[in-house]
Amino acid sequence: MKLLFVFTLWCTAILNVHGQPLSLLVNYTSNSIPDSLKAGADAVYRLDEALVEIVSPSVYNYKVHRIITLFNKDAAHHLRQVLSFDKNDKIEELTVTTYNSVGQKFKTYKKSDARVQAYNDNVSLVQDNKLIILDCVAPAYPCTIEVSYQQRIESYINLPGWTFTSAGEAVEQSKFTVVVPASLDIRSKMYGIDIKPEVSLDGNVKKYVWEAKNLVASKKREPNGFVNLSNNPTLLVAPNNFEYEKYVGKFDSWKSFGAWNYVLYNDDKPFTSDQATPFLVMTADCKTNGEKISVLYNFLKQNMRYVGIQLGIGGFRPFPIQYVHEKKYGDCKALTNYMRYMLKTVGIESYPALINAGSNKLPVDRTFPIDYFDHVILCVPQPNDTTWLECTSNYNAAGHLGSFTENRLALLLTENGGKLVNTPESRSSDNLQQTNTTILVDEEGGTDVKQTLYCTGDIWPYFYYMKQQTDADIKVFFTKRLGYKQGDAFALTASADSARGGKFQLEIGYDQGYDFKAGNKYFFPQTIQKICDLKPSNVERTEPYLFDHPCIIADTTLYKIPVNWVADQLPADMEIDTKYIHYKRTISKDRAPSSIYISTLFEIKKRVVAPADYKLLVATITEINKLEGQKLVLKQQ
Amino acid sequence: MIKQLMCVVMPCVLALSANAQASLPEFGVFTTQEKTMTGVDFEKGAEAVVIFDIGRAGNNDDYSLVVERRIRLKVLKEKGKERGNIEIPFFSKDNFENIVNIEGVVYSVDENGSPVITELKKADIYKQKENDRISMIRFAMPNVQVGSIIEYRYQSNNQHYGGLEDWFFQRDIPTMYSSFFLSVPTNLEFTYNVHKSLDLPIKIDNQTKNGSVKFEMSNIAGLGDEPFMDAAKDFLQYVEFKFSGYMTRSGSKINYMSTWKESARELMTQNYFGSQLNKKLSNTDELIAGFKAIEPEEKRIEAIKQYIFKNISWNGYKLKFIDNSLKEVWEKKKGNSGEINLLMANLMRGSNLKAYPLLVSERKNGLVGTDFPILSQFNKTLVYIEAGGNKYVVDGTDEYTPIKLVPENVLNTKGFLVDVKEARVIDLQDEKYARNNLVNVVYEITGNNQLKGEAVTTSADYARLDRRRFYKQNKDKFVSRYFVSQYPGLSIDSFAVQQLDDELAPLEQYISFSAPLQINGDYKLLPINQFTGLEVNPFLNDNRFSTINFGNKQNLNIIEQFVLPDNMKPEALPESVVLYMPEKSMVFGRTVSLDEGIVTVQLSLKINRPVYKASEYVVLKEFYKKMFAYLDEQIVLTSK
Repeated sequence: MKLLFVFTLWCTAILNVHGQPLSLLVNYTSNSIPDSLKAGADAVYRLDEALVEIVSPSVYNYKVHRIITLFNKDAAHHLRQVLSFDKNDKIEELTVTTYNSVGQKFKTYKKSDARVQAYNDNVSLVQDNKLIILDCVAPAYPCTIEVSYQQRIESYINLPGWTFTSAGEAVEQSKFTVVVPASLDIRSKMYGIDIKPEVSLDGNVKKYVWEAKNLVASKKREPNGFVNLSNNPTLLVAPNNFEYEKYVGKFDSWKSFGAWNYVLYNDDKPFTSDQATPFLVMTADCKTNGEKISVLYNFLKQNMRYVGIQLGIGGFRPFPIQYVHEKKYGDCKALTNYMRYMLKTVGIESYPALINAGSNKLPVDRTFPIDYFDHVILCVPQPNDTTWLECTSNYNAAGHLGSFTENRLALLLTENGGKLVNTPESRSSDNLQQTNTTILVDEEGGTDVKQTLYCTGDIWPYFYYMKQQTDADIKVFFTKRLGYKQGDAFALTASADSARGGKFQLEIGYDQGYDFKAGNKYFFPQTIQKICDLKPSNVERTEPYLFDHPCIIADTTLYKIPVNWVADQLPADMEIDTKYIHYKRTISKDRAPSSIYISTLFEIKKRVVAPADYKLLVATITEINKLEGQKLVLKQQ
Repeated sequence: MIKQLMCVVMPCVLALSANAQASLPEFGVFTTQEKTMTGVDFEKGAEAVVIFDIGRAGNNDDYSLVVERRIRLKVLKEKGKERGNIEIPFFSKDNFENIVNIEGVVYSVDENGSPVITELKKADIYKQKENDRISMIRFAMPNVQVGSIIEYRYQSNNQHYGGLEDWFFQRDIPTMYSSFFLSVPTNLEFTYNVHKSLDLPIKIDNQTKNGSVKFEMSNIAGLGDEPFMDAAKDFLQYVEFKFSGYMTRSGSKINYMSTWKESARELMTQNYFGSQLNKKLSNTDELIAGFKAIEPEEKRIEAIKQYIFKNISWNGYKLKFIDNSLKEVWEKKKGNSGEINLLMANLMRGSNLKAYPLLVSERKNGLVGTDFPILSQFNKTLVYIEAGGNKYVVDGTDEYTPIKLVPENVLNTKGFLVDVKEARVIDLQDEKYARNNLVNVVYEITGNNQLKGEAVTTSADYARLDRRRFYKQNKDKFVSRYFVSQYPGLSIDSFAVQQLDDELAPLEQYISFSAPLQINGDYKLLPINQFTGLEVNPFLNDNRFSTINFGNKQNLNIIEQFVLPDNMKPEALPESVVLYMPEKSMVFGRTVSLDEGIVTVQLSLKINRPVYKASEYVVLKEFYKKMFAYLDEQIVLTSK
């Protein structure tokens, strides 16, 4: 008997070494997790393994197996398993089992227990992604959940990557395997961690295995920062060859991926000559290509609307030009390509440019070609300058991209393939809000205010959207969204939009123009609107802080006070100039009788603030908020 | 529910008649007035306007319900172009409903000023399944410009009259004309409720003899979101329908739900509801014996609620009835909200508690009309319990609300207690508990022009519920939301909470902080509106369409003490003031005093009545405007 027991142990040891699934090496109890992994973790992956089995340039199988111990409700998202799929991506199996804290099985769920619903990206009108959602129950925390699923993908461009740890989630064992025909092979790159794969060749099949153990949880991403792959240790894997819905492509370089896309943007029958004639007529008097670009871009903005319809290859190939011309709508690809072919009719070459959009996105990794992109803009190279066009916008000035796509790498789709180029970075002067205000004070402290307002660049959209609202809502918008002192009477007139933005005239009446009184002293605001509306948190940062955009907010305010009123106290002139912020305020009462003139400038010079400079930035803004809170103290003589 | 009840429509002869809209232009034919219109007086600056919205419902030869819909609208601003993206949801489960005969046309003017008519093509119409119940028709109307007139129509075929939906005359953009014509088989009886504002006329042509009725309204402004508004539906102009019975072949009349009691009796026999309540669930003997042993009953209720919450997973569907039997729910350990709460009622009843299912309509779902037992107005089932002389309303899917409080999302609404004997509509108010916050703050002015202070906030009842939930979900945001956001530059030196999980005690929050002192020449300014949660006046709109529902009564009391440096004195103290709403339904008070170098400010806001009609808005708005003006005043210090 004893002998038999020893023999059994020996066999087990052999099995462990020789290919027994890792899953059997872990157990489902929470008490065996090292304290070093539990520290700061809401969950620990006891095991996190996946296998990507590449069959061909168009087919791969993806198997995932996870055992996760959940410590608290912050890890409860694991109890809702959500997988996305479409017609090219089948979920062949899904099983989830939950265990209590001592590892006893609680409940097993199958794919049939899940519900299916359409995916809504809140942007597209029509698209074909769906979600399978499986909700499970946790007996009590801590508990353990085991998840297995298998997908078969029959058209692809990207391959699955692997995140080794995420915020608040540590890992005991993580293993990612890619099996690929050697003739196809793959490329890979690690971010935020350096793990060398174990590579083996078995006949014509190449196998890569990345494995890591005992990784502590990543820290949570700081707000108002970039989305950075390196925040969580991540492996990216890319194919060298792919096939998406019969469209065969290579992905060994940016050039080859650009070439694959370029073909999709070609349109053999764009405009008929009748259709092209108006574009020629519109631009006939233009003296420069820049003028032609502006004229046609304005035509696009005024006549087209964004409608997202993305089905299958339609996620990559734009609608035909004729379709857009007839419907007067399209998504980013379609509208970009339409603009491109309009420019072509007047002899200007341009190139669609794939880009990763979002104000918190970093440039893509130039050294590792993969499809990071989710948006398309248009690049119009000119001998002395390049004009970039955001073709889904109804308000951007020609050449203005804004923080959504600026200052990063775009993949130009050219006849010679793809080429990475930088998009421009906007300057503070590109995003301007200039107000000129006159405030007439009456004997009771009531005021009549007249203001002209001009805005450009990334500030213009706020006012553009304001203009779309009803008259009643516009009045509220100025107080609620723009920080204007709440008025009793209100009138807004919009001038015709300028080439760079919008112009408005504003009249507001206040029964009480001052903020408050103390004795016989009236405390008036320096301006009727907030010049600086920032409230950054006073915290330590290790990641760069992002402003929405660099900008200049400038105001002049002229107070006209009754002749028998005088200034009791006025704030002093002030200037603060740092690496990121320039603030300047001057106040004078000598320009005209019974008048006080205030000039304020607030400039965000750079959008990205280094972590080391963040505390200084907070101190600067706190000081500016203090200065802005200062009042004009007036009194009757 | 009606969808499940109306399968017994008897043969009849009524069909859709085409008598009604003689005065409206033909489909795709646009009038000069429509072409030149640039806006409507009853809502200036709207992005788009519905010119007309026509619905006609009747039955086809198979006696199933057919609804024809025709909508014409005009785009007035750039944003209004999005109105050209159309989505039509329909109930596709078991092919109950189908959308057919979709047509669309757009009138626009090209760059030369010439009219262009563009038709919607069949190939541009997409039909997609959203989930196992609902599918969606989607299409983008072509060539939509500012100034375009969009028109589309379609037909909805339903298996029976249970598919008849309420008709809304109003939406978020203005509507110039809206009408709905309904004809029903002669053997089918229906009632309707019109929900409308007193100052908007409606024309109702009720042809009782031939079982038809037509409703018409004109010039209705759009309704957007308003602060402290419950369901927009409550304030929209609409008509709701309910079928009350049918005549059998023999001529006898079968009534459906003509009274609340009859409705309850019917519900209690249904497999999808009441018949589940007393079903024995497997392996529950020991569990129920354990529950029964818990005394007093209040603790038993709490124990069962906690058991349900921890062991039965909510699948995210908020429904009032069950999709699966409670036996299956018990077996699978998950279910929709109706299943979970009926399961909880089942366990409670088994544990000797007087527990009843309670149909409710959450505040965001809409008010309950009590004239007729229309079940479609409810969106959820909760559990109503009477124990120890107290009444409890409990939701097994709600983690945070203690059983002593009525869940906030149903406060000031009505619920339908479903029971053969006890059936009734009850008011879900909370007379006992309010949102109670008490804040004590002591400020000191330091030599380096800093304001240092310590504050203790005591949050009880509904205030505790809100803050505890927020704290548990995100501690950092909690501190920012309640303590930092009101004072730019305020930094927290220390923060702690006590009694977080003691449901019987208030939540205590302790902070010490420092903030830059506002210097204004020779003056130093001390803000008084700190830690009040009253940062921004929510009532900025000139007009109000909806009822203001604060949810619960509120008591906010702030006591601030400013310890002045020896060399400073107030320039003048802010006045002590009191503001009242009529009948003291809301009272704001500020008292300010100076005693031995300490300025004491007491602020209080009592909301004694949580619900205000739109007609009271003018007074309420003025109250808030004055209150915020008082709160914005600062204490001005000057040198002695």
